Amino acid sequence: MTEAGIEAIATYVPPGRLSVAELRRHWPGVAGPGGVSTVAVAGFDEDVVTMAVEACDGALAAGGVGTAAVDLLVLATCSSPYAEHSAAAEVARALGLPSDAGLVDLAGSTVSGVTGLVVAADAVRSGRCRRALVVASERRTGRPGTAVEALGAGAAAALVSADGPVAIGRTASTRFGVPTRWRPDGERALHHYDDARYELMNQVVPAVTAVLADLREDRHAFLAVGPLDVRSRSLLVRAVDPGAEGSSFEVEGTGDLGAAGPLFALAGAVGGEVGTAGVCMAVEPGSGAVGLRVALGGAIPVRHSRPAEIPVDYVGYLQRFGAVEGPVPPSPIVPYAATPGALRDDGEGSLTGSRCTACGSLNVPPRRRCIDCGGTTHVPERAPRSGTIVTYNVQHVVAVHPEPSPVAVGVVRLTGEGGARGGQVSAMVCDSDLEHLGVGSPVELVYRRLGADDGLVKYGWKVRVVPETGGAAATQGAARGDARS
Amino acid sequence: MIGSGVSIVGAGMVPFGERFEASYEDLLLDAWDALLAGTDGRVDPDRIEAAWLSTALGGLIRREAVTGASLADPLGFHPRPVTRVENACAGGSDAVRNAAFAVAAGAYDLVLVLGVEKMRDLPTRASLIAQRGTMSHLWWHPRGATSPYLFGQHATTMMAEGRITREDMARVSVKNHDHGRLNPNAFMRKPVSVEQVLAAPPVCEPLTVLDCCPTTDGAAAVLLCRSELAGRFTDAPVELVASGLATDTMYSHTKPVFGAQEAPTRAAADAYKMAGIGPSDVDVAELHDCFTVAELLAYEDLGFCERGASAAWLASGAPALGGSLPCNPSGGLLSKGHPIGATGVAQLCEVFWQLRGEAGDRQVDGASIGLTHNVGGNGQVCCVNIARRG
Repeated sequence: MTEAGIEAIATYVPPGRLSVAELRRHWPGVAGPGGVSTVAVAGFDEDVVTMAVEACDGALAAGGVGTAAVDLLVLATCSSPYAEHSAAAEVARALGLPSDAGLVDLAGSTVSGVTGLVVAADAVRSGRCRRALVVASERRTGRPGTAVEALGAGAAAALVSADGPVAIGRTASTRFGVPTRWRPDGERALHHYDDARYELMNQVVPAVTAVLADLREDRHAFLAVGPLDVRSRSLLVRAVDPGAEGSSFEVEGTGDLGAAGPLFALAGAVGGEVGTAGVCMAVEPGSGAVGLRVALGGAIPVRHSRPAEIPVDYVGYLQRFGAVEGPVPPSPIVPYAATPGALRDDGEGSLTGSRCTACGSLNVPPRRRCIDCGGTTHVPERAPRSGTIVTYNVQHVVAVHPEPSPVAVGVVRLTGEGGARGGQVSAMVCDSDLEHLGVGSPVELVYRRLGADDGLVKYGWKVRVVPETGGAAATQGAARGDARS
Repeated sequence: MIGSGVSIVGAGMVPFGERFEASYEDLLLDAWDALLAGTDGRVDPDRIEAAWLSTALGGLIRREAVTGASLADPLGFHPRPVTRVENACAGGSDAVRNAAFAVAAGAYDLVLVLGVEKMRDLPTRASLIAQRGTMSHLWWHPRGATSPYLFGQHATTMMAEGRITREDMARVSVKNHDHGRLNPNAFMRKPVSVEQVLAAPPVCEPLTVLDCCPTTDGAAAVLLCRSELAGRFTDAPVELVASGLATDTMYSHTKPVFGAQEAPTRAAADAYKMAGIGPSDVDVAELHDCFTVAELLAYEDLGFCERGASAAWLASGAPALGGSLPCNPSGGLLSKGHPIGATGVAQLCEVFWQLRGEAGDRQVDGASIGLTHNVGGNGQVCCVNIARRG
């Protein structure tokens, strides 16, 4: 069987930094992330896709490999911009990978970064792919005011092929524990069962111990485990493996990198000359642990991309996750009821028209020149609240939201009003049996919502069919085809 | 005759349809290439002095201001003058009208009119709603009207009065789809039956999907010149002999009647007068059948038949190919498609080819006078142009 190994690895950490001191200033009683003084924060214009592209570009450049040589892309993340839609496809598009390259999206678990390495190694060993790019990318946050609020951001990518000098050996996994960190469907922030010692000693340690036993790894030069903060990781190493060297590969100032954490740790290990063999593992309470043995047969290129840091204050941090609404750009789609046009049409609310003093026509809405005679003298007058349907249609494409579908829209001749063009209004029909609506149907005008824009309600007048009490019968159902001759 | 005489010496269009692969600029350039290809090298593009560009929904769908530069840039036409025309669905014919008047005034010898619309960069339903924007005074906007409603109102009235039936409207769709089958530039080239029209999904009752023109992309172009120069550019010029344009009030509820439209009636009367002809002299017509009922209305508004007689006139076979006055041999908006700003120009392209005997399987034998009828909004505006062979 073909071997599989890592031939290059790269990391990217976005420039934003939230200091733990700034966080503590707002939440003085809450434990922050342990062992770090800052956490990395993705910019407004960065997400899992863009950071993954940065890391992949770094890995390809470090390995001296062109995109045409990559035939599998595995993206691991808990914080994809999409609940449904392949973020791997977006990364592949940006990198310009061949269109026949395979795409794998591993989402929803912090062990998925290591799972991605396992998937890639299996694909290379089986001959299904020649060269795989595994990238783990995260920009997570937790509920404000909790110990897991300030999580890190960044991406790490590894190129895996048959001749990769960092050979990937035996892999193992165990399912263990109950969930203590979870993000409900539709929410942005991580929830947390806040008991650190229970989480570490009763969930993480047993899972890691089980996987180490399965890997039959007695002595190892390094143990790259994620996602754990620095303090937890050193406690873990002491608990499971007092002999491990160089077990802490925290990238200073990044924080909990989720699915990307173990790959960051691995990047630190292979670049740090810590020995010849070790274990790369990910652990998550409730799902367990996944690990693989790696052999440092030879040096591989490692590239770290670290743009100059930019401090981010707490409000800025909240804005980046949408917890606080940021500046709203101006849009030409404005709420109608707030506009100067609505102010000018203010009489509409009371259904006020203009009564022409020359010809007597009632113009609704009011006009400077009478629609019938062109006269320019008129007095305001409220329109009658009843009329008859002149013509109408039953619309199945509804232009106002929310409305039932179908909805009838028609022209109404106001009761007692003459004039050829005046004396009529247009309106939607509400609360009426469309089968009994017809040309000539008597209606009353009722005040209703006419949809809303940006939460601002438009009010106005609709018409409701009133039961006929005799007199001229309407041509019922004309628009529905019942008036065929 | 318009002034001292204006002639059409070239026409070109792209196949209308759902042209997802083509940008606004692609459509524009393809229509331009088609136009030049039809002139047998007798038109030097550098001698074209000015252009009129018709696009209706630039801001609404394209989300970019459409200006003269929208034509000048892709064509390399700058710094020559380009006027952008927007007059709802009648913009294409109005662009022709204004270009013709500029030639008649002696300002230019040779000008380009190009209409282009990119509508299918939105889903069809969103595009239908977007069209509402072209008539959306703030007051009107919340009333919930859509484009088919504006003509559906006439249908309801005409049915209630017993002037037309649901089936009569369906027969317009059947006829125009039959014609469109013969036109390689048409979008919907499949025949439909009365039963299929009636059974199609309702859009705006009584109108079904097959009563409504499809939302399409497209572009069309014509070249106009002073008639005395026409022989330089072609051996078979077509004279643009008349143009009538009329308006009505903005809103449905300020119409005095339904089942008749003032603007088309007036625009046609003015055009007939300018051409010195009557409706019975017309040999072929391209009508604005955005909805089936609109074509029935047009028969009456244009005087092709008496008021109230549209259904009987249709049933007589007169407006079908082979009839006494074939209407929409191109398939009309219903079959060919309705890329709004391009429609009026494409109507004139069809008349140009019909009058030159170049319309292939859909040729109206011996046609010498052709008419285009292009309606905007709910009959807010209408432009009628008339052309004559030779």
